[in-house]
Amino acid sequence: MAMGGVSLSRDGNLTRYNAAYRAVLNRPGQPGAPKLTVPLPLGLYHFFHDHPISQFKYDPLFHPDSARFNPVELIDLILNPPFNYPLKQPPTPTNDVAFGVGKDSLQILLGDAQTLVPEGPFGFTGSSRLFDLNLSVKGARVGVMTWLQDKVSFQLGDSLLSVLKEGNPVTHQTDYTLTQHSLAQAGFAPSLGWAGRVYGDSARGFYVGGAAHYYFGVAYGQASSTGGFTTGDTIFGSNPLRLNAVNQVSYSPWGNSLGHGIGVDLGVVWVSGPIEVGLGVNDIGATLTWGDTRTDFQHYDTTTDQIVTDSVHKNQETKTKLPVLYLGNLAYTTGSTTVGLNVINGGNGTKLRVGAEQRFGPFVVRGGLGRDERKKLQFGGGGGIRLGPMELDVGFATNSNSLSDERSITMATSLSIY
Amino acid sequence: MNGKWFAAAIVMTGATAACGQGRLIFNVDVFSFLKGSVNDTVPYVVPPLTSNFTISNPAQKINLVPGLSGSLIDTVKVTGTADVLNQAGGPGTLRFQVYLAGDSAGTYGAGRDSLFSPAPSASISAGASTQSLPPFGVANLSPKGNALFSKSEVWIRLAATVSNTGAAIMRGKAVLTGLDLRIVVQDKVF
Repeated sequence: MAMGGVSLSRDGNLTRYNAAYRAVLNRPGQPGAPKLTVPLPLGLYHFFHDHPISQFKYDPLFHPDSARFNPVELIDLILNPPFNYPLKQPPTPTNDVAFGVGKDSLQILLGDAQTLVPEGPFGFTGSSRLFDLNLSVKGARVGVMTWLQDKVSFQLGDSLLSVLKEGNPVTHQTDYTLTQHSLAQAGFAPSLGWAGRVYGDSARGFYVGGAAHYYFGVAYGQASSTGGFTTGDTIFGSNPLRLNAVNQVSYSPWGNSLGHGIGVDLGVVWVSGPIEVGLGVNDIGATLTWGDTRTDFQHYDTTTDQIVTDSVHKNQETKTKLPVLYLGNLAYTTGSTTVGLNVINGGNGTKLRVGAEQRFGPFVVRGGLGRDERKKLQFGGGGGIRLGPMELDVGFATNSNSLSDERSITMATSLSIY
Repeated sequence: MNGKWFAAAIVMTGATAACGQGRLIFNVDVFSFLKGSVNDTVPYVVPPLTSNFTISNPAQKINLVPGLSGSLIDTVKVTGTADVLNQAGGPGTLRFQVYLAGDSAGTYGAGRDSLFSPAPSASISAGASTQSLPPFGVANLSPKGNALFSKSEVWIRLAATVSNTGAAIMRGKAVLTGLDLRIVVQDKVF
């Protein structure tokens, strides 16, 4: 975090995304990977201090009926789970919002809040391996990991975007729609892999690694929806606004037959003195087949004002695909100084990161910057102190993971045991 | 007024923008929902030499956005215009009034809230004539009128009170030509 997201140590993203790094030794003069790193969730303390659990049922953050409910604040919370301590939180709009309403007119003037209306798709996505247990003997490795992929994406239709973003009046005979696509799937995967040096020695060598996974999908669900309203000849006239929504939901819940699929991770690393270059790719060809999927087609019935299921298709076979993730890295080490560069796609877009670390005896100072998936520059900084077998680290980083264009700043702390 | 679609408009826009610490402002052209229907007109037929003869339209319900029911209404500003079309009889006077209440019966009862005090009025000369009432308005209905808009519905009734000082039947109508509401919602502090 303190290095703008650059991973230099073997315990971070390098080993996660590049199977070859399991065979690469630590850099001379650099500490090895800690046996255990425990994040200190100061952000959770802050969050529950501001939002006591005992007051949840009165907390306007979670109650849309409350006049103080702010959907932007709630969305930002979802986009930024409060594990890290927020030093600067994204601003939420506080300007007046005006609506012009007449029988044949409707205009929404969001003012400064118009900047929150996304022109393109918006949402969040990720692919992670929450747990990876394995045994390794002479480079060969056998183990099992859990995996999770989630993706939620929204897109405003052009006409709705025009109304909300530009403040244009609602017009006759027009569809105003919002579409969403979401997917979540999770499971576990027994894995068999190998990593080793195939050329050279520890000072100058070429490493390769790979792992094959047999994915078992425990549960999955996806939904695609389009909803909104259609205007008639008069906005609020005798031909009223027609609400419309169609929804397709496919799911294979816990307890159904498992999904199955095969995928591989591949990685290479070239080490030449102080220089290190690597490329790792994960989940290549990871397509899961779900043999017992249910798919529902639904629409909004304007007569009954209810969602009506038109058809149900059970025991269908569907396929889902895990995104291919990759990490390319370059590092240069001299003495107690290491600088590095990462290009990473962790399932939520490509990010470019540059960072450096300088050690002064027991102290370490870190800094970095990166370009996120929104192509915005983000900054990080921090440090740590080594006390015997323990190291206490603190990092600060900016991010734009909120609806606001302004960066927020968070602080993370962790305790590592070597 | 098509109260259902007035409500739908409020619901839709309110749901879109229950946003932030700032205020929500609804500028509602109420007249546009009444225009061209019998609801914008109060016809009168007043016997000779009769004072304070009151005629009104039936009360009409306006559904309000559910989210507003938990909100604190900051101000409700009303502005309007109306014409008096006297077709025969007179001379006399006409006072125009709009009543609000939480239910239909309430617009006739003591709990009603008169929008205009004093009511806008016009002196009507004998015979056919058309004249405009002076533009009328209320800067803020507070507190009773504001409270009405913090509920799920409000009822509105138009009325005219006519005094006929002439010896013939006075006949005509008061026609609403504009009625705008500006509802400002202030956040409620928990």
